[in-house]
Amino acid sequence: MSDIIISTRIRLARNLKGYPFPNGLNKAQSDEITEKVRSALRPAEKDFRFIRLSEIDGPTKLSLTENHLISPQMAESDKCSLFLKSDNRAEILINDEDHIRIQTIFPGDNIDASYDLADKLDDLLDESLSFAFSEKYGYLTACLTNTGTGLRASYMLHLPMLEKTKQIKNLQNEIARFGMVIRGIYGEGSEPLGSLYQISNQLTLGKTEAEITADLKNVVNQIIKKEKELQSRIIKNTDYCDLVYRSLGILRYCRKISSREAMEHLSNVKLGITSGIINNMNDNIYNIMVNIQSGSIIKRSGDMLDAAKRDVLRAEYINNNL
Amino acid sequence: MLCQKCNHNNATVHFEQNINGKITELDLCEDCAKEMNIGFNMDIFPDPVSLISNFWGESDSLFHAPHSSIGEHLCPTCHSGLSSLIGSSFLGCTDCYDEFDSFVENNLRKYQRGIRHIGKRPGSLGNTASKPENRQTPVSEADKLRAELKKAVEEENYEKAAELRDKIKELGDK
Repeated sequence: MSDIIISTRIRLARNLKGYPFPNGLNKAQSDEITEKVRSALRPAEKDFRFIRLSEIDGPTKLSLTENHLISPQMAESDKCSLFLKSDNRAEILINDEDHIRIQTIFPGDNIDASYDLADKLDDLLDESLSFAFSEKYGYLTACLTNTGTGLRASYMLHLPMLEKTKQIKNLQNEIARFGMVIRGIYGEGSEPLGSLYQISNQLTLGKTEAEITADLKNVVNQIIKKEKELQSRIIKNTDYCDLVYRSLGILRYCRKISSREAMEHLSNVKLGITSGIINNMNDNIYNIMVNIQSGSIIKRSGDMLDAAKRDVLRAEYINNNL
Repeated sequence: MLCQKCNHNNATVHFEQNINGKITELDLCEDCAKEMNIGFNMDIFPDPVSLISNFWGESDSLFHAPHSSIGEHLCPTCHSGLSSLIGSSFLGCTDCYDEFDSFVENNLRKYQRGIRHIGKRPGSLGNTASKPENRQTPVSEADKLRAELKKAVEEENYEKAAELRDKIKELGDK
């Protein structure tokens, strides 16, 4: 199952009493909040690195965005900062949409471990910070779609066969009835790149944290079952075998490749590995997908490269790492 | 929200009147509010927010305040008016939850399943939901739907019952 689940993620939204939400904060107030979080986090400070987004360069920001550690909107703001855990499994975002957002990301199927770590960090901050909380509505957030638990739990899944058989749209409608949403990770609109999808809860109020994660887990298990079933049917299918090995050939021997083309072939190779068409290969495809995004290439080279040069370095990276 | 008087324009002015404890609430467009002499006379007084901002230059709290219509009720902490919140799911500050309680409640009914928080609480208020013993036995979506199904059958609401049965089936708990 872990080959389909790329990662699990938890986000808890919290706000401090007595301040406007980040959209209405002035510089002095946003600095004050940052300092309050910094001192609340002191007992764990050796595990965290402080990054003020206004003080880092463009490529580093782009790379943080591509790694889903910050949102594109956050990258543009001069009020935002973050505390990033040294193993990249947790971060505390300050003055994004809410004053505080605790995020944890674990590779593979680890929603409970993700929640436990976020919960612990929340407890730690709660010891010295005064969170805005109402008996009726729970944790108060800038957007009413997060009110209550402030919890967004999500799974990142690789769903190439549901995509190829055009079932994502149906899935979207089905899970919306249970208060869940599915969206592409890379790319925009109806054409997500790499067949990577995020499935998360939309409802945050009127359910406990445990109910939210349990329901999400249940729905994700159903989706994985369907994807596995479709994958099991293609092992001996000549068209699919050809598709997978053709992609592997291109990735191993290309000398320049765009991000879009690379994502498509990497997804096909990953499908080959999880379905059993390819037997003797390590599944490090998702890592490659992250590392061939433009921001990561620019950051590695230390130079603002144009698209043509990035395509050459992308091909080189894939040739060496696949 | 449409103006409750003309039912045509968007309501941007919220009016509350308390007479001997009887509270009357009205959401009106600017034209109707003007007609009923509610709020400032807008032809004579300029927008007070812009007046003060011009005088002080960039005043932080006012500069960042969401727009509001003259005469409408404003949140005392962030100066957001109801007109700036309508059509959006965003609030200005945590006090807006109390200031615009009926707006908040209506929208939460739209966006969420319930309007009562039953999850984790801050430690100072007696945190219960995050304790492991409370997290081990969650009521699943399927269990909730089964309870609803039972109720629907008892009420002989078979259409709803069939819908619930399908949902439970899809969840995989047969």
